[in-house]
Amino acid sequence: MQLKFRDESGEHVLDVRRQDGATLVTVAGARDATSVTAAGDGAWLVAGADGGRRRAWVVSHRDERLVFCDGRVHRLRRPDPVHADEAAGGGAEGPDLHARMPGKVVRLLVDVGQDVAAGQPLVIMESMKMETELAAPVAGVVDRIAVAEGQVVAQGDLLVAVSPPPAP
Amino acid sequence: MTVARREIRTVLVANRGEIAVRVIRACREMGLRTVAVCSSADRRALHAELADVVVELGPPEPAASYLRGDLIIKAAQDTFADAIHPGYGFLAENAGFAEACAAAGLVFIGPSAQVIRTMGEKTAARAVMEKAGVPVVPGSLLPQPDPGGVFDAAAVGKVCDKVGYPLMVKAAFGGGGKGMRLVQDRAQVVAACEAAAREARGAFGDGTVYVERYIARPRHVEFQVFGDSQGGAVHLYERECSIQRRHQKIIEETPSPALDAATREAMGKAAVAAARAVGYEGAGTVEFLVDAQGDFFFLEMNTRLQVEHPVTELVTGQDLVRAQILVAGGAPLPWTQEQLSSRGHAIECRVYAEDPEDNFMPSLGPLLLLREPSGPGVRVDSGVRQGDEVSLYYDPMIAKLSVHASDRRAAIERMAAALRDYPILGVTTNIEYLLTVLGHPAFAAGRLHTGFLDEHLPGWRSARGEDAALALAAAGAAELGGGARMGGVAAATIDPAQPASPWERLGRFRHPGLG
Repeated sequence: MQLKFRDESGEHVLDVRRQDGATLVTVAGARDATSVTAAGDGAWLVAGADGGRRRAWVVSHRDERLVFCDGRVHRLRRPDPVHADEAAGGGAEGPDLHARMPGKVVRLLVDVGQDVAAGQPLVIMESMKMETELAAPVAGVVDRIAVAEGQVVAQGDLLVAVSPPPAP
Repeated sequence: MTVARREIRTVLVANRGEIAVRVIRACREMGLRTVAVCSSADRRALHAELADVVVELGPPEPAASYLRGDLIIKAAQDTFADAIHPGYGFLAENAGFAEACAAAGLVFIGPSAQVIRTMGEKTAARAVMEKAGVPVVPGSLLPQPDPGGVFDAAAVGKVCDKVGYPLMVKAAFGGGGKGMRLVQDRAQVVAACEAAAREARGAFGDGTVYVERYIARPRHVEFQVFGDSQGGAVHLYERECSIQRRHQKIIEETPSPALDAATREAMGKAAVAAARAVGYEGAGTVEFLVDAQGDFFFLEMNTRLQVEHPVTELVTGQDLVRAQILVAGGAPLPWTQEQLSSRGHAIECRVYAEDPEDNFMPSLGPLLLLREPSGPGVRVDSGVRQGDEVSLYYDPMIAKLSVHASDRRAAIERMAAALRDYPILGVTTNIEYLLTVLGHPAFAAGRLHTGFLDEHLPGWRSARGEDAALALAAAGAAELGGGARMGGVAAATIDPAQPASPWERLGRFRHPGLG
């Protein structure tokens, strides 16, 4: 499969495929594929050009992939055309529901696939020790719930993705 | 001054984070019951969970929780504690709190209120040390200015000529760089004194200033001392703490690469003399400045357990917290000077949640991934776990990483390997910055001074670009999934029961004057 990541030096296109229990990653423009295998403790073993292996750790946080290797930390962005506003820091426009301030998700009031009306409460958030109901900006269908009850979210995080209802 | 032979069964630890964890663990080893105190932000913090009993003091702001001596003493009484360990920072060097503990019949695990007070006053501490024969930076109080704040130029000039130039004008009751002026020659003296006095009056309510010879490119070398209620006093060798950014130590080691055996012995004797001069009880640290010629001068005494005590424990094989508790209970020192020795080399690095590329600003947020290094000679003192939050209320230190090895070079290599094997994701840390310091030729050569970082690493930038291809490969593989247990990209889950409300932030707090 093809993946795109963005770092300080620009955008990179990767070809990623599995082979014999390893993952072969080829960065566009590079000559050779890099072989990556999973370690038992959650780390990734990345084969180096010198024949040695280096251990890397990866976590996913919103649209970012954070990588730790040998004391250095890399922040890679994963451009996501479907939720591009998420990457942009959370636009309030559009049908999706974002956190307006950092807080904790207290309750989710809807399920995936459910029809919602404009103004219908979708999520109860707690911020500054106060509970707030967040309502659907527009009518539509819940196509993704991006958070879990009890989860702490930052300002602008996607909470519930809503797609507009099919035109009548 | 001291409660003679007082049995300690329950210890309340009046602190948080790694030092509270450190003290609670020592108490548990000794079979003592422990009481933790916490703010509302720390209900589920490691220290609060480790103790037998936890008492919540109040809101997250230190002034409303960890600095509330009255609430802490009440918590001790309510939980039948006999002793309070203050850790470092917060109330550790607060003479009033030590007094209040004594008045409430509680053992304060530290020196007497009197000693804390004396050592907290720079000119008083200087006077005591001079009397005890401990070298102090050549200096002098100044003739008082007239009521209008004007100094007598001739009289002041005479005093300053005797001290020698360049010199520093300093506030007698000051700290933190306020009320300080560097003077190059006699012509600048009066203006500098007047400015420093004005600033000191504004900042500390007392405009008394004194002058001290300025020591260029000094090393910061301190001695661990220990005293008991029977008049015993020993030192446990030195720690070199010259690697500092903005007066904050970040790498400490022992032995100091600068001291020869004769200097070490002379400084150790001076440190013990300093402790004896004030009848010191418990763990303390005598800080010295060492100049380029190897001459040493008393700087100040810290009347508490020091942040960097693990390096001393590693080379001496002693447990300082255990000894503090024994001595506070009225026991004699567990060692004589002759029984103490230093073996090998130890280094500590303070791992901070901060951004070295952005003026070392604290980096706040959840610790999405945290794996501590381990192996022979590796010690981690930490108060946080994966999923915990670095909040604005407290010092952003994540942990102290310490290593012990046969010699300095082996210790540096061991430390570098441990740092490279210390994945922390979610907040920005100083790990790569620490690695750069350790790898610098001047560090390897032991050519250290307190301006080292400004001289050698100004405008530091990460070299992560060198590993960009590797990072892409790892991230690409993680995206495809198949990682052990994690099911691909390690989920950036956050403990749903996070107690901290990181956005309820009022102000930043750092332990004042952390050694």
